[in-house]
Amino acid sequence: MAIFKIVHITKYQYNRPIKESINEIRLFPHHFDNQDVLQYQLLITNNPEVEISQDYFGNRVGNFNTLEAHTEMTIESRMLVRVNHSLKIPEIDYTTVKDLVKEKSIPLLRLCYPETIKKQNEINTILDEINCIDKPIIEIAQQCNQYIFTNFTYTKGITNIETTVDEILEIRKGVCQDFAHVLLQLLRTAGIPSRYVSGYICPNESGLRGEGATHAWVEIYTPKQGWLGLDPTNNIWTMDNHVKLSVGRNFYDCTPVKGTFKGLSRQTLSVCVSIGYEDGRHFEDINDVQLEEVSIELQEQLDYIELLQQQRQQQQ
Amino acid sequence: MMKGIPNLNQNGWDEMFSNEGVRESYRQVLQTLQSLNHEKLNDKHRQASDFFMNQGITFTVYSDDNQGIERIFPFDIIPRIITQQDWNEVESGIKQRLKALNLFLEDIYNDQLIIKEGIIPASLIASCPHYIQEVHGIKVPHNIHVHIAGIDLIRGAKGAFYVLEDNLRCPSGVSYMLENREITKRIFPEMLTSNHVSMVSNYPMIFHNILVSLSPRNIANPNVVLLTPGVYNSAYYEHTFLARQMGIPLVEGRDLVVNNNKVYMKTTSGLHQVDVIYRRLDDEYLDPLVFKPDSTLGVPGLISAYKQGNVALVNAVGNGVADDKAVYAYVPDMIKYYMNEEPILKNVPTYRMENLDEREMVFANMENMVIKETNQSGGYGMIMGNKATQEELDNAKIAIVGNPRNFIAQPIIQLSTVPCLIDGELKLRHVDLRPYALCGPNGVKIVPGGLTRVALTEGSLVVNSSQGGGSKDTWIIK
Amino acid sequence: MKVNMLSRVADGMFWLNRYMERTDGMLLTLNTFYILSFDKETNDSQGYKPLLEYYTDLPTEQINQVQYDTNFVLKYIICDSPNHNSVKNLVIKARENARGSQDKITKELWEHINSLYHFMNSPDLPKKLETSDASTIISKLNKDFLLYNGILQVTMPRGLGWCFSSIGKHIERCLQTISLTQAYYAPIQYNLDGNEDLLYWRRLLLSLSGYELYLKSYSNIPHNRKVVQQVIFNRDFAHSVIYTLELIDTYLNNLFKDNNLSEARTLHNQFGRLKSSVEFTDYHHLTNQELEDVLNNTRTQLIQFSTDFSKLFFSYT
Repeated sequence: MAIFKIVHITKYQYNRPIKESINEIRLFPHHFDNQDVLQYQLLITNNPEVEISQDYFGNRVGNFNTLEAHTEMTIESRMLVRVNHSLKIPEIDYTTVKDLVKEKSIPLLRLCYPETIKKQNEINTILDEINCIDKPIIEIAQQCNQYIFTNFTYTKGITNIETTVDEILEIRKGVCQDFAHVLLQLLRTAGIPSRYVSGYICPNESGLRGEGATHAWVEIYTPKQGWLGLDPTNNIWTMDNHVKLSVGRNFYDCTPVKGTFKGLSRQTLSVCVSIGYEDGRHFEDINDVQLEEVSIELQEQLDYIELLQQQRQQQQ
Repeated sequence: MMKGIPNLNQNGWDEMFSNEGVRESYRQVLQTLQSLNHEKLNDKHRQASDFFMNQGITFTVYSDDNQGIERIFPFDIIPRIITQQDWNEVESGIKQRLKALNLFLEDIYNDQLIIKEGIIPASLIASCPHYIQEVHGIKVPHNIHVHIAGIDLIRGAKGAFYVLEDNLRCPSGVSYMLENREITKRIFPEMLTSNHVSMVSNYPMIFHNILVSLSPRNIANPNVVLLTPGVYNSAYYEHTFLARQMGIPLVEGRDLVVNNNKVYMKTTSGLHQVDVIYRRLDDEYLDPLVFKPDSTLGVPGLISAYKQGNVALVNAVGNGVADDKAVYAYVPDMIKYYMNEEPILKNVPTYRMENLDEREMVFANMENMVIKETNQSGGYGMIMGNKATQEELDNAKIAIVGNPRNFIAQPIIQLSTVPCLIDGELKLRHVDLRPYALCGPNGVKIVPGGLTRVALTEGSLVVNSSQGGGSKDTWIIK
Repeated sequence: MKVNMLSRVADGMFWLNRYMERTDGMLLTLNTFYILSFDKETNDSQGYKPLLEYYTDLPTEQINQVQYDTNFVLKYIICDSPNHNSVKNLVIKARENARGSQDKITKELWEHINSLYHFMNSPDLPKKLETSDASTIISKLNKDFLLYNGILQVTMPRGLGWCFSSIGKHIERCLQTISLTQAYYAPIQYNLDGNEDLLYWRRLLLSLSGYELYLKSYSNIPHNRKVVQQVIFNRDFAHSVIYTLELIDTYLNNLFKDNNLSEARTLHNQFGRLKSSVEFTDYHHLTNQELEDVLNNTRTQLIQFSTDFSKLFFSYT
């Protein structure tokens, strides 16, 4: 059991005033068997009204907006979370993929469909190597996890949120989120229902890898034990230092902050997460997020708006 | 003067002529047509074309030099007639079907009893791209998901009606039903009266009443708007037509903004709350925060406002799961399951390509089959086995094996024919029928009529406007 | 019941009428010059120059080359596709704006704009302009624009849409009058004491539909000063600067009746200053320099006003 005090600050800055900022956030820690949220506080620039609801996967979602012109938006999420480590290592369990046939739940079925990718053959080859026939679900999952840990290099800065599974299979490098996506593709191809998890990893002496404090991993479903967490970045079953924020089919379902705005401006995003431990130790991670792909879209949008303005001037 | 009866296809059903000559319902119309000379008929044809052109009832075709050319959808001046007796069957059949489809949508986005009881396989729904999990559990006003449906019917070789497709998302074409009647009033005024043709022109009023009744706010004048993708959409004319007929504002996505989970429209005097949106924008474009992130046609935050019950969307989001072509095969089972009734209207036999036996049977009989992609409409993604080349058929087989869930096959049905005026003569052409059904708190209403689409190419069975189809006025006569 | 109008729709109606008014004025000028081009005895030093200078982007050298070339000018002004200000392109833009605001425009008005659009797009139009049909075509177009104004007057409801339409229309008309006036005064250095003859001024007055009115209003002032009175200060002349400004003012008053926004007051005051500066100019004692200034200033301020007006009411993107 461990208690963490986490402060997660997301800051958007705009070089010119923007308006009609409409946002959807998934920054609320997930309640589940092994995780209790003891305190939670959300602070947003201009203090907008936040409507909180549940999504399809049971995540808590917040919706809010700021219509007036502004040049900065900060979302500060503070929480005190207790994680119980009863799930440290799953029990030995001999259920196989065949035992899943009776499952008739649409959500589970949907978590079994692999994405359509170009390099599906490679995925199939990896599974052949592992040889899944008649193996228990837990063993297959563990071997897939191991495979990624061994054959993919953890490298920051070469992938981003839009990097595809095909690209990761090509370069065999990436960060936690990329590893999670490849693992999902493997598990789903093997017929195991599995979902993406976004959250925090709270590093300690053991020196776990993670992109700073925000982290991503995978959960598989087994008929006997329900959802079990697997962290391909660290080749472990999840432990009491994994704090869950949200779950879904992939990153897109779990994006911590999604938003749109109107205005001719360039935006920069920085994320800062700090984690405090019971013993008073403190860990902080500041990240200037590269909005690489987004900025191309933004560029198009900027061009478009500029074009519109030109047209208007022509109309004069 | 037109004379004689066109050569009838012995394997098909012609709606004007039987082997014994003209059918009773068409007798007067045929007499009138025969009393007119070539020139008169051509005049009427031209009058109709001008009417459509001047009103801007056109779609734009872009050529190489990027100069748009405006075309009208061809209109055939000879009406398509359905007797009251036949109509009664169509009407009660569609009402029954829509009740079942609405119950199905309510069930599938809530308790999913139909799956739990094993009537429909869970995998069929889970694998349907139009099953929108984001709206699971959202309460819609009066539990109505389908407010407007355009159900495509065809008549087989013996004249029996079959349902070909249930269009439950954004069915279009109702403006043609209404405008086709307007032009008939101008070119054949005397025929309408003498044949006792039922009225269709109250459609916008019925629809407007339903829209108003869905308002989440209990106020005297709820703000109802029509949301269009914009002037470049091929159905833009219809959007302006309906907005004007119902006296509601025609808005684009950029005219709307969500504030604290309520939807507002931007007016010259500030923001005004919107209660009901008749949207002619597909689900995946509605809200970039939930669906396609790059869509600029929609309204960010709309789904969240919808989820809170602050705005009604017509049709509801997620209806595509019920008109998926593979789910279509189960509609008769839905009618039995939810209503404990026998289906009044027949389905066209449909083979699911996931079923290996059915697939084998279809592969052995490709030339008699039409292959359809389950999530396409408008005549796209369709291969007619009797017209396709061997190569096209082989490619289709490869595609089916690669993704069987994505395809269904149906036997090719000879659609019924109705004579059309082509080069001054009566020629038989294949037709279908799309009546427009409206669902409100007081039940299902169907104005007596519909859009008859006609495949203008000789022998063709494809009636879609995108594939060279035209249309006819449709008369229900007492 | 309070009626609202979508900002985008208001914007559409504003620009629809600006484009239609611009086209109308341009066609009238074209027709005037075209008819006068048959009077070979007139000592015409300008040809189509004022038309080409105000309504097109052609460089000066090219204007000098083609200023007497009727064949070129007709096609260029009426149906040239690359010329973004040709009648064809303006009608296309007007129709686009009409389409966007179609649910607030009467069926009659829409059908008229639409049939005009189809006429402008008929493929044989450029060919016909080379033949003796040209004058028939120009007359037809002039009539179509008169008809447009008639249908507008008779069928359109007098609500917010009407205000936005009228303001757009009269901003455009006022700018046209100013620019054409400048085109005739600039070559003579705004000389109010000169003695250009009626043949010189006839071209300007006909282009602004004001020739007959001018002839009827008896006065012994020489033409150079009297024309100024007519085109700028005559309140009975539907194309005069003061008349158009007064109409804009009336519709602004309607729009601002229930509007207490401070931006609205600022804009209203801005327009008031613009109008007063014309209103309180004494044309009897006007100097050449003052004439040049009043035309220049009014033009600049009106363009600024139009921009600010759009910002206040049409900011929906």
